[in-house]
Amino acid sequence: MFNRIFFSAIFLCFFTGAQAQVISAYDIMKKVDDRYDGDTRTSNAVLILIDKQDRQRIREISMLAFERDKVEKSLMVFRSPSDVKGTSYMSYDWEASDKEDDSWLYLPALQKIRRVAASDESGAFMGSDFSYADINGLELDDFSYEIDKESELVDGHDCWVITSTPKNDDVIKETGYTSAKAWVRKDIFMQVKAIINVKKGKKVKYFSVKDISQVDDIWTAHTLQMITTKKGKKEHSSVLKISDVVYNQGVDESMFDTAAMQRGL
Amino acid sequence: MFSDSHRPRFFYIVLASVLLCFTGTTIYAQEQDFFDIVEIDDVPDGPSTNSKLDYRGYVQQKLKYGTDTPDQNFPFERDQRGISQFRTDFFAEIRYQFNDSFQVQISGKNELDWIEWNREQPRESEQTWGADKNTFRLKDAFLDLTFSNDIWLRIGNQVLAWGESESLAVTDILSTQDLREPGQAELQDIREQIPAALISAPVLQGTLNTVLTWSAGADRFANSRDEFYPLIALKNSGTEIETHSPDTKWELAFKYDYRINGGDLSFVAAEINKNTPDLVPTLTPTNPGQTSAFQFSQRRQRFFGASANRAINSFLFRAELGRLRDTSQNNDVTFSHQEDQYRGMVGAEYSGWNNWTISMEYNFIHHRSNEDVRQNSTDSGYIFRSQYTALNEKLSNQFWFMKLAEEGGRIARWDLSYELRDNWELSTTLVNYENDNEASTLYPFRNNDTVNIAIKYGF
Repeated sequence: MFNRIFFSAIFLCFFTGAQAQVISAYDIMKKVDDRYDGDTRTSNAVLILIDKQDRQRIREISMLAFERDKVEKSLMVFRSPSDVKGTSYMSYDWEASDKEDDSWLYLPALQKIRRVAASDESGAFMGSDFSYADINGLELDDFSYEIDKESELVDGHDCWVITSTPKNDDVIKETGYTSAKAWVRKDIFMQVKAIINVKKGKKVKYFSVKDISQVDDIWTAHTLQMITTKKGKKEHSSVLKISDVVYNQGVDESMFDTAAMQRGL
Repeated sequence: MFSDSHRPRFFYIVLASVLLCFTGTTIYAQEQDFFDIVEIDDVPDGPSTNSKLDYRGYVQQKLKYGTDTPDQNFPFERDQRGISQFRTDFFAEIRYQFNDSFQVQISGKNELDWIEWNREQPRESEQTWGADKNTFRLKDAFLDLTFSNDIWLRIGNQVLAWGESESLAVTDILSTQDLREPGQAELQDIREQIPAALISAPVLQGTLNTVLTWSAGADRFANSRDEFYPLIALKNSGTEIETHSPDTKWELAFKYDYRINGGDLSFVAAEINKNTPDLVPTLTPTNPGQTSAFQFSQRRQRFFGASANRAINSFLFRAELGRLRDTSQNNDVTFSHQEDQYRGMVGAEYSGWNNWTISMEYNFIHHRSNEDVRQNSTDSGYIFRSQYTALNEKLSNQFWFMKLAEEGGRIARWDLSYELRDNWELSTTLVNYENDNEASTLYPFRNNDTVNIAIKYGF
């Protein structure tokens, strides 16, 4: 589940392809969704939460992901702050739509593993401006897409501007989003910024990606930021800085087990 | 230059144009700002995963204020409202990983009390301050060995937290509990470590956990000077209280865990000593010079049970059921009657609302006497919990309402915590006790309502 967060919907890393022919908005977003992002991944991340008064809180996380057959397994271990240190979250994200994700939480203070129900996707992830929907990735077919602009430069890179609209109220309820406008880089099929309209509180979130580079031939974003605004004023912002990304080595499937959560990484 | 009739129209056109331009510029400028790099202070590059040594801990200062006078029909040390506890907690946990398959961990908690109530009846209580009561408790001390075939061995003092219930031990049969302050303890402090060897191995499609313990002890209760001394009615009566250690020191338990998509299933079979000691009948003194005595001992029990959970959308359903068979007659200590127990719970948790989780649980204990069916009885309990976080999880708000199946009585608790900074947390807890059943073990404590305030620094 979290897999998709960092490496799929948000990372939106793609192999470059020839784009001479006309491509529809749906096809663009499908390419974003279908991209190859390694069979296994490890990385470390620092999540910085910044309030209105520019006070910062920091959360450090180690992440592992493993993809096999029809399931993506991911494990996140919280390294700081101290009250959540050692807490780990594991999930199995099944490709089959009739299978719900499996999630478990290990709390070192209780030395107990608990199954977790699929949370409200619109809820905040670790108190940040990223929602679980951002982290888990949105279902491609839940939205209809339209190209707003065929070409617009973002940091010197040519982008499509695509508007996505939820197909029904259930999607709005699940994701909390009423519409979104995304800028997708044409050369690497990566979403580099977005404006997201949130139903609750009529807030607007601004998402942007910085520090994009290739790791093991896979385009990878190293800094993601999300700013929540209301009536044009910034309410809160979050920055996710990702480092030590390694694809396709050092991860074994036995790491994605509840006993492994108890033992710790 | 312009007539009055023309001026408003022109004025409004110009004004509208200016405003439109200005508004457009403003929105554009703001959006640009919102896409600009967010300024952040120096932050660490990321967690260091190379260090073999890892640690965590906290220092916490707690103040408890008794909002009512404890029931003066019982010999409590405190006879008025006031600060009932001023305690400094220090907790530290250290883990060292020698390699991928071998690590050790040790942790402990120290409690330093600064206040004490003393009462020598019929005089009034006296409150004295001074750091003269210090309690250190080992939280765990074990080593982990992992083998290449996914077999895992943990040997040493460890907490074994099993089961699904939040307030009744059904399959959670091994670890003893800290029951010194019912309804007030923090969750991480409730379970106590026990000396044990755990071996976990994949079997068929699941995992088999085998645990062997030795001298695991009993639940931890408040001592006679504390606010929740369970034998308060006998205090100052001259009655001798004795605890008889179980004749059989070892305990053995098997737990088989099986996972399916959307749910977990566990089966537990064990031979154990009951964690809560029961009263053993003793002879009443016949001579005036003799003192009466109460003796407590742990029953020997065989257990078989199962627990399960199932997640459906934002719901998590949980259930447990187990049977405890009393085998105490094989031991030296003779209880007044042999008693089997059936324990169970059903519960549901809903987390489908933004930042809000509610859970409910119903649990029961059915006592079944093997000698006299008239002694059969059923005690039931429940727990309702609502948790809400706000301000990007800086503020956490939790309300509990519970009836304890074993002890009886109702407890309402409200926790509010605020994260001042990354490692600083301020919290308050209000606990209210209700009890109108004189047979309940918590009846004497129905006036021990409290407001707790704590500040915690984590590292």
